[in-house]
Amino acid sequence: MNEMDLIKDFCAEQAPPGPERLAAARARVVAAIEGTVPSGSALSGPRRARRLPRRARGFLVVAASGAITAVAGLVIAGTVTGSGPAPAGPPRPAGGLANPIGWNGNLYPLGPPGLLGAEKTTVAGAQAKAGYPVPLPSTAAASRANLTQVWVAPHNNRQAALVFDKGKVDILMHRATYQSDLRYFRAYVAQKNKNGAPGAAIGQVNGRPALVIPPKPAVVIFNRNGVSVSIYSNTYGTDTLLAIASSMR
Amino acid sequence: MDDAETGLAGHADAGRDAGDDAALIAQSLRSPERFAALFDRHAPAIHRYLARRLGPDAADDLVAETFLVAFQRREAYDPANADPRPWLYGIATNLIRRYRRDETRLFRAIARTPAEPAAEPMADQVTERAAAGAARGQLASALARLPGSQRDVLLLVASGLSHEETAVALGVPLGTVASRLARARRKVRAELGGVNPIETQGG
Repeated sequence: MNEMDLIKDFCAEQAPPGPERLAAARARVVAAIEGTVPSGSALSGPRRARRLPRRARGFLVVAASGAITAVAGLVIAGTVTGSGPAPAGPPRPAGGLANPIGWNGNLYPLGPPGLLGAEKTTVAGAQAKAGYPVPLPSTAAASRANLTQVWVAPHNNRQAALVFDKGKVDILMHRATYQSDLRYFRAYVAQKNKNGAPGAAIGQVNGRPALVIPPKPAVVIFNRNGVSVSIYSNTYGTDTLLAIASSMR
Repeated sequence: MDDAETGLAGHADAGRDAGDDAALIAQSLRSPERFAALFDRHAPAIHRYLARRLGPDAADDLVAETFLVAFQRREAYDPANADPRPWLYGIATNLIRRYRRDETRLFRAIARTPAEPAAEPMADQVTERAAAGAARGQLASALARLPGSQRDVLLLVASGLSHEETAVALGVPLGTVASRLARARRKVRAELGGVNPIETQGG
C-alpha cells in the first residue's frame, strides 16, 4: 500500500450520503429548475399534466426566487456595510449577518451581488417599491427595535426582505402567486414525508393556515392579505416564529 | 401526487451510462426539469467528495450549489463530453476553493483525532488499525500542508477521476495534472516518513 492507496482509503472512508441527507439540496435544485420553466415551452401539451399545477409551480418559483433574493441581498449587505464577511465565506454558526438563514450566500454563484436587483431601503421604501404594505412584527425576537436591514427587489417578483437582530430572524415577502395556501402547504408536507424527511406541518397564524418547517432553519410561511410571508431563523424555533408571525401588523 | 408532479422524477433514470447524461443535459435546455435526474445520479458522489474535504454540513450546502451552478451553465456544456463527472467535480472544486481555510482546519482536526478502536480485539487487527489510524492522522496533516492546487489534483484522482478527467475538471493541461500529482505525492510520502507506516508497524 503506497501513499496513493492511503489517500484513496481516506476518501473512501467518507460514507456516502443517504437520500434524506440530500433531500434539502435536491429541493433547492428542483425549486431553481422549476423557476426557469418557460410557459408554453415544450412542457405544454400532453406532458403538461405530469407537471406541477401552475399555482404549485408558482409556489416553488417564489420559494426559489425568495431564497435567491435573500441571499443576494445579504451578500450585498456584507459588501456594502462592511458588517458581514466576504461574500463567499464558509458556513458559520447561525446568529450573525454572515449566515442569517443558513444559506450563507451559497447561491452566490448564480450571479454577482446586485444581479437580482435587490436594493437596501427602509420599510417605507420597501412598501413603495413592492407595492404592498410591509408589516412589522412586535415580539422580543423581532420588532422595529431590532430591525437591522430592509431590502426590496422591485423587479424580481416585488420581493421585500426584513433582517432582524443582525440576521437571527429574516422575513421575506412577495405577492402570493397561488390561490389556496392550504393546498400547497399540504402538498409540501406530503412531499417531505414521501422523501423520508418528515417534520413539516400545517399550523395556524391568526386563524389562517401556515406551513411550519422545523430547524434548521426553522421556517413559517403564511399568507397575509395576498402577500406570502416567509419567516426564517437559525436561532429560534417554530414556536417563536409563529409568535412573530401572529404579531405582524 | 406522483413523483412527476412533485418534481422528484428521475430516480428511475439511475443506472444509465454517461452518454445518457450528456443527452440529458442537452434535453434539459428545452425541458429544464430533466436536470433533476442529473442530480439524482451524481449528487451522492459529489456530496461525498465535498464532505471529505469540508465536512458533511458544508457539503449539504455546496452540493446544492454545485448543481445550481451546473444548471445555470448547462448551455455551455460540451455534449462531446459524454461523462459530466469532470464538469461537476470541477464546479465543486471551484466552490471548495472559497473555503480553503476551512478545509485545512478540517484536515488538521482529523490529524488530531485518535483512531477508532477496533471492533474485534484481535491482536493483528488492533495493530493494523492502530497503524492505519496513525497513518490517517499523518495523511490528514500532510493534506493540510499541501498547496490547494496540488490538493485538488490529489483528491480528485483519489476520488476516482482519471488524470484526463482531472485535467478537464480543473481546466488545466494534462501535463499540469501529472506534475502537480507527482509533487503532491512526493510531499505526502515525505510527510509519512518516506515509508509505508502500515507495513512498517503492522508487519
